[in-house]
Amino acid sequence: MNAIEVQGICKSYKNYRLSDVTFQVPKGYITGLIGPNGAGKSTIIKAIMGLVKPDQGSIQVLGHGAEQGEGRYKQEIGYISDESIYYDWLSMEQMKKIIAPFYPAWDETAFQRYMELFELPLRKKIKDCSKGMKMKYAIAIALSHNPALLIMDEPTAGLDPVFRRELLELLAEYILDDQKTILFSTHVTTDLDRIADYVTFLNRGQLIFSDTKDGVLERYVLVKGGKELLDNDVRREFVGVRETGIGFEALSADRGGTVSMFGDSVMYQQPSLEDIMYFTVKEARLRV
Amino acid sequence: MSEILNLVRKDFILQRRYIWIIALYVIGFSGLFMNSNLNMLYGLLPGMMLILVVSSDMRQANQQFLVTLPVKRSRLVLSKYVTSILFVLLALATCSIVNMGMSLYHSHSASIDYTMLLASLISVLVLMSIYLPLYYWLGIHGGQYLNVAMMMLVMLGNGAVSGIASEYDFTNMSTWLNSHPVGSIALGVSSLLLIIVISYLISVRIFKGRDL
Repeated sequence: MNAIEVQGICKSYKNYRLSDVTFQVPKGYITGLIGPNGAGKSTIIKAIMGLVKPDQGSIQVLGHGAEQGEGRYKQEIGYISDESIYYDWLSMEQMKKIIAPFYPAWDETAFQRYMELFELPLRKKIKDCSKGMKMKYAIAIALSHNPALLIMDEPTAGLDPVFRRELLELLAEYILDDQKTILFSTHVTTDLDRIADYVTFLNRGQLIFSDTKDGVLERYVLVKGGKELLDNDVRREFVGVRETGIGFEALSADRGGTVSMFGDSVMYQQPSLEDIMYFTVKEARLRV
Repeated sequence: MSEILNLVRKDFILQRRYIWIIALYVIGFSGLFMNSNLNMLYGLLPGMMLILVVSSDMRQANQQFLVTLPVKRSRLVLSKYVTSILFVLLALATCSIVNMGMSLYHSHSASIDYTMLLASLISVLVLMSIYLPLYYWLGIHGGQYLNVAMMMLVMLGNGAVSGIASEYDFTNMSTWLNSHPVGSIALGVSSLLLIIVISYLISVRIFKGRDL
């Protein structure tokens, strides 16, 4: 069962194009949407939230079509934007008074608990809050109506490392109920190393992969070896190559094939999501 | 329906920050400290309120906030029309109360300038029907210029409307309308409703297709 189904989404802007992106966000898990700046993560999230109308394709959210004019399906979504979307001249208390009536499942006790936990003063105006405080407030608002689906666009941007960790713990706690789902876009992939179950990787508006995190990490391998092993045929086998003074470091998307090609002549390492993103993005830039 | 009420409530919360400006404006032009200038009240206050209500959601981020709420886009537009009309009526009610209070204060007899009230109501609602589709079409950047243009139009139109309202022909027309009250009310109300409905449908069509 999928919480979100994105099918063949295309969207063209003046200098940018999202091309035929298809992926699913399984229910009950945390899915990380990764990619460098400008990869299309925010556009996809905006399309899911009905903020952007795709040129082609369809999006299903919790069994409902996410057409741009529709609203009801958002009742079950807690949305955290990468920037503050609230009326910043209002206090956090006033803003909450505007938002709460739209959600029948609003839990005032939970809201007060989060405000206390995040040390947010209710009477402070939003414009006077730091970026981190605004993000915490958005998280408190999103969690207080008990959504089945949490969609977060770069939620850890602007947060200090301590709160980032605390947030990840909070999300892990939230997902304990296997009916809850999280879609989490970020370019700080270390956050996903800790908590993601699935990873969807976008680069330059194209889907690179969408799979379980463990599956991705099993498939990819980081190879380190001497320069003498590197020729054009070998290069083509890799997703990306980085040459150093003493040798090379390369990423392969076919662990089995790479091991049978090089045997014991190179060193193998488990790549992180950041390694995978780095080599893929670097290679794509070279090919342009 | 509750969605519309919540959105209207939201606009009332947002307008609280302008309450002192409006109060000062009303007191200033009430005739308490200088000769009563009804044109400045009836002509400008409803238009000013309309612009304040509409522009409170003008920022792109705030538009995004509204669209992420569990409300259809068409309802968001509808609520803007409802709030605008409510605020125009509120402004006119304020004008009438001030007008009545001041005439009681100056001439010891309470009276309301109904011609001015009606002319102001019709002109502001027609203005709203033009303003809102343009606002949804132009978005944030064009919207700022639109507000300046609308404010100028309200100020210039204010003189024109009050001029027309006191014209001999308009007075004749008023007399004729007064002699055919049912027909003229039905014609006036239905024409105005038609304009507002067409304006609303255009706004919905524009806003539904807008990327935020």
